[in-house]
This record gives sequence, C-alpha cells and structure tokens, in this order.
Amino acid sequence: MNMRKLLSCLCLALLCCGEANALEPDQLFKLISPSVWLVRTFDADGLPLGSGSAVVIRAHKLITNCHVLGKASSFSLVKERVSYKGVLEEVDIERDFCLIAVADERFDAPVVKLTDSDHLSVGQRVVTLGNPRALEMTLSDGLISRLQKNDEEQLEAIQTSAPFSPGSSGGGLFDMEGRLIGITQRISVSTGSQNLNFALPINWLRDLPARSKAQLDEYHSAAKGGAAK
Amino acid sequence: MLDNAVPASPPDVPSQESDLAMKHKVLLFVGLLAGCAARTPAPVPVTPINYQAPDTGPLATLQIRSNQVAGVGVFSSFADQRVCKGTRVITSTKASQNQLKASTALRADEPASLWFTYVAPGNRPCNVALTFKPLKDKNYLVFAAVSELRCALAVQDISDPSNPKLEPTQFGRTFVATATWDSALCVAADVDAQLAKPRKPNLSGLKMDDLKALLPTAPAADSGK
Repeated sequence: MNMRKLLSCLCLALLCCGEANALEPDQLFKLISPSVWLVRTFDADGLPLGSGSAVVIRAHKLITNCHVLGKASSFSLVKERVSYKGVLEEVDIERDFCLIAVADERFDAPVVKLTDSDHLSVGQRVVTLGNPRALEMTLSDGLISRLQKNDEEQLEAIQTSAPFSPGSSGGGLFDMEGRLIGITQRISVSTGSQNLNFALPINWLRDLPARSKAQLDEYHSAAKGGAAK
Repeated sequence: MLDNAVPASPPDVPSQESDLAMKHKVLLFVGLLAGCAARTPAPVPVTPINYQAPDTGPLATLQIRSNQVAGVGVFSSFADQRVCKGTRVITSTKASQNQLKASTALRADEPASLWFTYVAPGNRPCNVALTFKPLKDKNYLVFAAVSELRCALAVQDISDPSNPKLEPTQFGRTFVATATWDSALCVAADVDAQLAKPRKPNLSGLKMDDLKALLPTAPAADSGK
C-alpha cells in the first residue's frame, strides 16, 4: 500500500514537473510580447499595402512569412507607435520563411527562446501572439491539434486550435514556457472548416541560410541569363 | 495564407485571376459551347473540336471534377501539348449540370496539357492551364476549383485512392497575351526540363519577383557563418 502511495506521489510529482515551468497566460504575454512586432508594408508610392507580424529570433533579426512582404516596396516594424525600417535578408519562398533585419541600433527588442519543434505533442497547450487585422498584440490560446508530417516523417506544419486571422501571419506560436515553436502561417478557409490553423515549424530556421542562398542564386542567375538574351 | 498573398489553391498549383487579354476570346468560346449567343459578339469561325481519347499505347486515366459553379466552365486539352495549340474539348460544365464530371484517357509518358476556362454572368472570366507527365496505368484526378475571385486547377495522383498525392510534375502555364485560336496558347517553355524538375511546394504562393523590390541586389556573400 505504501509503495502504491509512493508510486502515485512520484507520478504526480513527474506530472507536476512537466508543468513546472508553464506560465500563466498573462505572464506569458509579458514575456513574449516585446519580441513580437507588427509588420507594415508599403507600395512603391509609400502607400500602405498590408500588414502582418514578425518575431525577434536574434538581435536585430526577425522571422516572418514571406507572403506578408509580397509585392511590397518597403516595410516597417511597428510597436506602440514606434517604427523601424526593415530590410529583407534571407528568403525561402518555398517554405514561406523570410528573415528580416533592423539596422537601427535603438531596436533593442528581446530575443525569444526557441524550442525543438521536432519534439512537440498533440494536445500540448500553446498560445499565439500576433497582429490579426493589425490589432496589435493579440494573444490567443489553444492546443496542438495535429502534427502534419510528410512521407519521410518530417514535420511540415503544426496544426493548432489557437485561432489565426489575416494579419496573424508571421506571428509566433509559443509553448506555455514562452518558447517559440512555430510561425503562424495559414488557415483553412474551405467551406465548413472551423479553426484549422497552421504554423511552420521553427526548426526550419536552421535551414534558412542555405535554402535562401540557393533560391537567391537561382533567381539572380536566371535574371542574368534573361538579361543576356 | 493569412495576409497579402492568399493562394487558396494547393501549393505550386496554377491559379489565375482573369486574364483580360483572353477575355474576349473566352467569352466567344464559352458562348459557342454554351449556346448563349445572345450575349456574345459575332460568331467566330471556329468549331470546337472534341478530344479523342487514345486507346492504344501506354495510357493513364484522368478523372475530371470541379466544384458546383453557376457559370460555364470548359475543360480541354490540346493537339500540341507543349505549346497548347489546337484546342480539344474534353467536357464542359454544361454537359454535366454545372459541375465537371468526366473521365478520359491520356497518353502516358509524354506531356499532357490541360486548360480550364470559366465564365459566369457578371464575373470576370478566368483561365488556368497546366502541364504534367502522366505515367502508364496511373489514375489521376484533375480538380477545377472556382470561386468569385479566382479559379485553380490541380492534378492529384489517385492511383492509391487512400493516399492521394499532389502530382509532382505539374507546372502552371502562362498564356500568350496575343494568342489567337490558330496560335499557341501557352508561352513556350522548356517542357521537358520543367517536367523533370521536382516540384517543390511553395507555401508562400509568391514568386521571387513578388519580393523584387526588397531582395538583396546580389546573392548574399558566404561569410562562413
């Protein structure tokens, strides 16, 4: 009997440990919100074009979805009426991952912690923070609903019940410890779909420099070839 | 997608909003097929030729479907698959109660080009075409999806119905702006190279040109990071 009680206590302790570092949503918000920014894009005439979100993943560097920047001539990172000009640095249009940089020294937004997105669980609680419809710093929560994998069992998308809306793109999907697990990217809008939202695994960040270089090289060489004709 | 670019179609699948250069031609074509002569300009001296499914040699099967649409959609292939010349009508929504539903055969192991053109009263017409390489004895499904804003075409390999796969060889075709009925509809492309190139999903729905104004002017130098 005592042994059974001991085992029960141990199990309980283990379960508690799993949640030990979990933060309450308000604590999470305080932790991650300085690192999530509104992206505003502009056309060639400097007129507003669209908006999205971006997350600071290194000093002066943010990750967003490339489609947030599509057709733009320039863009800014905005928070609480402070705006910084952004520069596109690395591009992976196939995976919709774009790295942007802010050169301004005054941009001192804190860097988020990243987690290993290959070790996620269905049912895990998550929060998303972004700027849906340009509504700055909107926090929502949900579960990891499904882990979408390809034929090689590689993670392709994190499906979540945490709601996304237009403008959420490029925002962060975080675990309950405030670690970035994915970048919010798309929603299913098929008739009858409800709350089917997809984020890109943050581990894709590791491949970004090489994939960006390959895609830019191909683009520039094709452009040179075209110009030579 | 959540923001600026919103390709509702599967990744790397051609979709196209109206092609104004094609508008007049499409209206004529669809008018002829649909018999709605009242709204069309003068008849054009073109009689649609129906597609003749091959029955010898290596073959693949093509199932054709669309969502329910209010207007008229026409689904065709071509005599010359590489440049989309010589339209061969396979089916139309009119023939199947506003929803494409047909089955045909394609020559396997060579390029097959498919064209979907759609017009509805009050809507801009839209055109979308693709080329892919069917394989012998495989079963394919091509689905034409129409919404108020766009139409899209995608081919899936459904040889294993429980595991349908987006056909990896398919690529979207660009229409020749000045095309006539007697000329090629598709901009010439190195079809063999395109078919051989593994299709990568494009989650952004963008082309690199869509970021042209923002891209670094030259490939990033390898700084040894």
